[in-house]
Amino acid sequence: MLSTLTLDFESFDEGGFLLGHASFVCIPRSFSAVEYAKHLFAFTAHESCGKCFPCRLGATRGKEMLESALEKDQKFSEELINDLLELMEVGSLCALGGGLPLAIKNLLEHCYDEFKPLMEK
Amino acid sequence: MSDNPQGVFIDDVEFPFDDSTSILEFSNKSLGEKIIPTLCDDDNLKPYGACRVCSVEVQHTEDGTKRTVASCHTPINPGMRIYTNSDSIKTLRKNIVELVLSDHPPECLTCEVNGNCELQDVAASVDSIRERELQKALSQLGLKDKKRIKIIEDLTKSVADSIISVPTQAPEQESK
Repeated sequence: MLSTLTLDFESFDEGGFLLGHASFVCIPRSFSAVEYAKHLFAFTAHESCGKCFPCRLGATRGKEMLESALEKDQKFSEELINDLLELMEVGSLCALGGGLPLAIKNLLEHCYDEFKPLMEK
Repeated sequence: MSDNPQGVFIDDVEFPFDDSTSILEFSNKSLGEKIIPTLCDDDNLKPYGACRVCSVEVQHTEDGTKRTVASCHTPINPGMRIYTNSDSIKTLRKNIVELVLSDHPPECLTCEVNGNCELQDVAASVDSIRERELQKALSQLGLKDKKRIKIIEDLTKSVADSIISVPTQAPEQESK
């Protein structure tokens, strides 16, 4: 997909990406995608103004789910995280909570192998 | 539906446009209270748009794109098409209520407002709430968002039991 991606809004949109700041994020190949997803949830939870429920609670719950999976070996439900992402994307008041799900969805799609052992159906 | 509507359509039924300032206010006047559930709406407060439980789908024209907005702070306009109970809205509401419950003390039946509780009413009005792993796992782990709690008051305790207990662990974010 990346080989056919051109630098314009339409191409990014078709590929399921967003052209803007942090469109491209480079992380080392050895860095865990799950750790990165946890960082994104933690960042959003920390930056959230706390006004709307989807962002304030959703980012915190997401961080806790991944934290429990990584540190306590507690699997999380795939359906649950998808519901959480959908809820944050559609329900958040501003682009902080509404923008996070795209990055996590892309991580889930493109690095699914890393998430799979931590999830249950 | 007329070609040049001056009214507002709620779930495909046309209602005359009035002086309401928000979709929620218009809906409450036209259809009656609680058609659109809310958690943070209060007559004594300005519309705040925090809980998002009052979300509805809105189309500005018949063929326009549907957008999900919080009805309490979205202005109403003539010709709007509002969908209060579509599948996606029902799912969104259910997920928001489940998210709220994931951060709520589980002792509902012994709570002093049991039976007279807005959250209970809203939870009962959405589709069946599943006991989500989210709620179950996090309440068991004690991982609920307690960072903002500075003082925990428990009036069932005697003075000797310490009426007020202060979390001993410093909040993670504030320690930086």
